[in-house]
Amino acid sequence: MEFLELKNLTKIYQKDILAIDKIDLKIKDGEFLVLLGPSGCGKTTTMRMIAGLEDVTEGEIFIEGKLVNNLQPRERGVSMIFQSYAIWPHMTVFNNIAYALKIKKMSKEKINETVKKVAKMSNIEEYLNRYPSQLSGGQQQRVAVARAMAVDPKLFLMDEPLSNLDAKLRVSMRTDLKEMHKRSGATTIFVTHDQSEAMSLADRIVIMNTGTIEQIGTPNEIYHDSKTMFVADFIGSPSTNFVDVKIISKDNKLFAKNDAFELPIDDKFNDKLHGYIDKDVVFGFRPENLVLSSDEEKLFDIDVVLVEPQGSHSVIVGRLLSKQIKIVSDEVRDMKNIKTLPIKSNGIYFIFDKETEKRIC
Amino acid sequence: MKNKYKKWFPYFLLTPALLYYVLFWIRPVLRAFFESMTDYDGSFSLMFFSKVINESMFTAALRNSLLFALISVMLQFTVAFMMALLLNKKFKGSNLLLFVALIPMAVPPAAVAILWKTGFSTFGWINNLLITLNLIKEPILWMTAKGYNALLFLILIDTWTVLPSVMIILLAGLQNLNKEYEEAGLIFGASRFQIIKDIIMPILKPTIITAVILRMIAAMQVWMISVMMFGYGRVPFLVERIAYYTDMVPMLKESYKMSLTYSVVVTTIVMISVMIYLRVNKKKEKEVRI
Amino acid sequence: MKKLLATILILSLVLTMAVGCTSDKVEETKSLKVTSGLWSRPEEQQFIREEILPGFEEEFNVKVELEVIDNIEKVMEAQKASDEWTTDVVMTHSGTMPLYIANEYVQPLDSVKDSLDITFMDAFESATTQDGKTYYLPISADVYLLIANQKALPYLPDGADVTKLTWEEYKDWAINIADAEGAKVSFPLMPIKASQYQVGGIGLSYGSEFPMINSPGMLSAWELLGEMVKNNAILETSFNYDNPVEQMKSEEAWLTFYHMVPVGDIYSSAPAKYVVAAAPAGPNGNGSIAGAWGVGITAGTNNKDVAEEFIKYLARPEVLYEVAAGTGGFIPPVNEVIAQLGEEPKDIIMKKGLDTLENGVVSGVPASEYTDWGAVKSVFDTVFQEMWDNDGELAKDFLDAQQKELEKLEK
Repeated sequence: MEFLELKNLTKIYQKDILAIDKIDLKIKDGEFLVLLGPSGCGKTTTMRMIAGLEDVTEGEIFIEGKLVNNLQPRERGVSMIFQSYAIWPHMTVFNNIAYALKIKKMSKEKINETVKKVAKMSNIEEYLNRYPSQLSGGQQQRVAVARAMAVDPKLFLMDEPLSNLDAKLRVSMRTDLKEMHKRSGATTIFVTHDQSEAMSLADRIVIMNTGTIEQIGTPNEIYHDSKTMFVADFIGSPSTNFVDVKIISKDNKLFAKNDAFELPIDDKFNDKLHGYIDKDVVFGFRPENLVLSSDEEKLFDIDVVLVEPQGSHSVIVGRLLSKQIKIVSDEVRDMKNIKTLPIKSNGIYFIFDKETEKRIC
Repeated sequence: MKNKYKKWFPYFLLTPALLYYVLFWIRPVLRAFFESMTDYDGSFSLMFFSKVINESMFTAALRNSLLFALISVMLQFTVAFMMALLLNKKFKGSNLLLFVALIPMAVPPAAVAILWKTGFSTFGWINNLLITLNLIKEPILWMTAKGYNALLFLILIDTWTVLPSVMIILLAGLQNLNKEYEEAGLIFGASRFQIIKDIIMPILKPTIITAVILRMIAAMQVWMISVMMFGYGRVPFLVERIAYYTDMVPMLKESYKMSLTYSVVVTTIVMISVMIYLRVNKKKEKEVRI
Repeated sequence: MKKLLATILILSLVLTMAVGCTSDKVEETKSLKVTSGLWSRPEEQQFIREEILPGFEEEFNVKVELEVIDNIEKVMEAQKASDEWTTDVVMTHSGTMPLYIANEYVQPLDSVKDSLDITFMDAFESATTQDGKTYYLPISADVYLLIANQKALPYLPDGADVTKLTWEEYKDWAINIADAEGAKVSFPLMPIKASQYQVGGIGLSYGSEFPMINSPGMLSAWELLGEMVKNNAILETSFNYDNPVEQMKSEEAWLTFYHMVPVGDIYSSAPAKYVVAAAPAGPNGNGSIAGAWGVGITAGTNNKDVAEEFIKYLARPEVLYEVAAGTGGFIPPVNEVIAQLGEEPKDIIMKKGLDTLENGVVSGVPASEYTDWGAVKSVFDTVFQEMWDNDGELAKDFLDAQQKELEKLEK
C-alpha cells in the first residue's frame, strides 16, 4: 500500500477556473517528494488539498489507505511549514512549538522535553523565550521547522520554506532539511519552483505545469530522460536548446535536416521515427551535449554572441538560424575575438513531437 | 541663520492646528472646569459638584450610563466580532450581506429614533410582525418598560445602530490578518474556537482595543435615544442631564454651571474608564508586532 | 491653449459677478424682510411663499423675503444692539410678546389697527397691548379641542351631548369605555412637552388661573384626572408621546383633549371616523390654554410704510382664512373670518376653535413671567408622575410643596 495516493484529483475555482486537472500520484512511505513547477502550476494547491486547507472538487486523497477528503487538517496527521513561516507573533518561540502539544493535552514535562529536543535539532535552543519579531528570517524559519517536527507527524508538508531566505542560507538550510528527513524517516512533500533545490533534495520529483503532471521521476530520470519539451526546458541550467528539423530518409537512413545542418540519426531510433518521415519535429540538445568541434567534423557553425566564463566551464551564447543557442564547454580556449564556432553533437539528444511536445525518443 | 529657522520650522507648521485646539477645545474645557469649581461670584467652591451628586436623578443617571456602557460594549463587541468573522470568509453573497449589515450606519440618529419609536408603538410594525408570526397574541407595550427593562430596550436599539461601525473596524483588522496564521492553527490541531481564542484575538488585540475604546467613550455619552423614546428624566443618563440643563431649562440660574459640572463629571469618568481598560490590556502590548 | 482657457474662465467669472452685482440696481422694486417664528414646517413655508406672498408682491410691487427661525429673540437683541435693523416685520408668539414690547424690539401700530374694519377677539389683548398701545395684531391662534373616535360614542353617559360636554361627563365617559374596552384616553405625558396645557385647560374650566398647582380649580382638575387614572381610563403609553396623533390614528386611543393642530391632523385623515368639539366645560366655562402668533413692526425698520401695507394685507379676512387653512389649522382670532368658513374638515376645526376663543375661558402662556418655562413644565410632570405612581391619589402636602416649587420660578 502506498503511503499517500491521489486519484483523479481535480480542483476548480468559481465554476470555471481549472486549477488541478485529474492528477494521479502515488507516494511511498518515507519518501522525499518534490512538487516542482513554475508559478501557477498548481503545486501549492495540490499540497494544500493534501493538508486539508483546500476543498477537493473531484477525486480522492488516501493517506495510509484511508480516504481523507472530508477530514479536518488536524485529523490527517500532517505537519506543515508555510512559505511565510506563519509563526504566531504573539507567542514566544517556546509556546509556538508547544501549542500543538498543549492541544494534544500532553503533560507539562513531556512538552518541555519535546520542545527542547526539536529546538536542539533546529539550533534555536537559545531563542526559546524570544518573540518572533526579535528573530531574523533564518531563525524564524528554523522555528517553523522545529514546530513542524515537534508533533512527530506521519507526513511533512513544506510550502517553499526556503524561498524567503538569502542564497547562502538557502543552501545551508537545504542540507539541514535533508538531514532532518533522514533522521525522522517521515514522508515529506516539498513544494518549490527552484529546480536546483528540487534536484538536490528530492528522492523523486513531480514536475507540474498548469494543473497537470508533466513527469514523475528521480532527479536523474527527469534530467536525462525528460519526457516532454516542458520538462526538458524547465530542468537544467542553462536549459535545453530546441531546434526545428525535418526527418528525411536517404537510402534507408534517417537524417534530421534543416537549413543549417543535416544530422544522421542513430539506427536504433528508426522504428520510433518511422511515422515521422518528411514531417517536422523538434530536436533538444542540452548545452553540454553540443561540443566544440573543428571545421572538418563540425555539424554547424554558430555565431558567437557572448562567452560567460564560469571558471570550471564556460557558457557560450550563440545564434543558430536566428535562434539563441547555449553551449556549455569545459574546453579552455581563448574566445576573445571569435565570431563563429564550429559545433557538433555528442550523440545525445531528445526528439520531440512538434504538436504534442512529447518525447518520441 | 538658516539653521536657526530649521529648528523652529516644525513648530511653526503646527501652529494653525494648535491655535484651533486652543481656541475651540482647550479654552472651553478650561472654562468648564472653572465654572464647575466656582460659585456664582467666581470664588472657589465645590458646591456644584455636591449639587450634582445630591440630585435626585444623579445616582440613576450614573448607574444607567455605566451599566449601559458595560453591557452594550460587551454585547456589541461579541456580536460585531462574530459578524466580522463570518463576513471575512468570502462566500457567495458575503458582499451582499456586508452591504445589508452596513445599512444602519447610513441612517442618522434622529431617524433611527423615529424608526424604532413608530416600530415599537402599540400598533407599530414590530408588534404587527410578531402577531402575524403568531409569537404573541396581544400587542406588547414595549415603551412602558421601566428600570432595567427600559435600559435593555435602549441597549438593543443602540446596538442595531452602532453594530456596523464596530464590525467594520474589526473586519478591517481581520482582513489584514495573514490567513496562514489561522491555517497553521488548523494544521497543528486547534479547533475553530481555539483558533479564535488563541490566535485571532491575541493578534487582533490592537484593533480590538481601538474598537472597544471608541465604543466605550460613545456609550457612556448616550442620551438622545433615551430622550426620543421616553422623554427627559424618565431613563436618565449623565449626558442626558447635560442636555436637560442646556436645552430644557436653560434659563434657570444654576443651569449653566450644572451642565458644565456634569460634563466635567462625564469627562472624568470616561477618562478613568479608558485608563483602566488600557492598563488591563497593557500586558503584552509592547511585544506584539505583526 | 492653457492660457486661452484660463483667460476664458477668468472672464466668465468676472462677468457673472458683474451681472450679479448689477442685477440689484436694475430692479427698483422695494423689498421687505419678514422674520417669523411661525411656519417652522417646510410645507408651511412653501405654502406661504407660493400662495400668500405673491399676491402681496404683485399688488404692491414689493419683493418679500421670508425667514423662519427658531430663536428670534437673539436676532432681535443683535439688531437692537447694533442698531442695524434688517428685519421689517416680525412674527412672534404671544408668550414672548410682553418681553419684546418691554425691550423695544417692536413699535406701536395703532394706526394700522384702526384703519382695519375687522375686530380682533380680545383673548390676547394682554399680550398684544401695553399701556393702551397695540404692538401686535394676532393673526394665528390655537386652542385645545376635544376629538373622539365614533366608536366611543355609544359609551357616552346618559343625556350627555358630545358637543356640549362637561368635564364630569367626559370623565364618566372615559371610565365607561375603560370598563368595557380598556384604557382609551390619550393624555400625552412626555416630559417637558404639553402635559401642563392639558390639565391647565381643565383647571381654567374650574376657575383656576394658569399656571397653578394647588388652587381650588386645579385641585378639582387633579381629582378628575386622578379618578380616571384609578379606573385605568388613561393609556400608560401616553408617557411616550408628546401628541395624540399616532395613538388616535391607530385607534389605540379613542378620546383626547389636545392642541387643535394635531387634532386637525387626526380629523382630516378620516373625517367620517371622528367627532370634533369644543373643549368640555366646567362650572366656569370651556377652559383652554390658547396661544397666538402676531405680526409686529420692528422698532428700527427702514420700510415702515411697506411693513404697514403688509400687515394690512395679512389682516384681510380672506387672506387670514387662506393662511390659516393652508398652514396646519390655526385660527385667526377675528370674528369676520367666520363668514369665510365652509364645511371642509379644516373649516370644522376652525369653527370649533373660534367658538372656544369667543365663548370659552382662555389663558395664554405667560412664559416670560417665569425664569424658565421648561422648569415650570417639569413641576407639572412631577405631579403627573406622582399621581400615576399612587394610582390617582395626590396628597395635599405634596401639591402644596409643588406649588412652592412653581412660585420659586416666578421672576
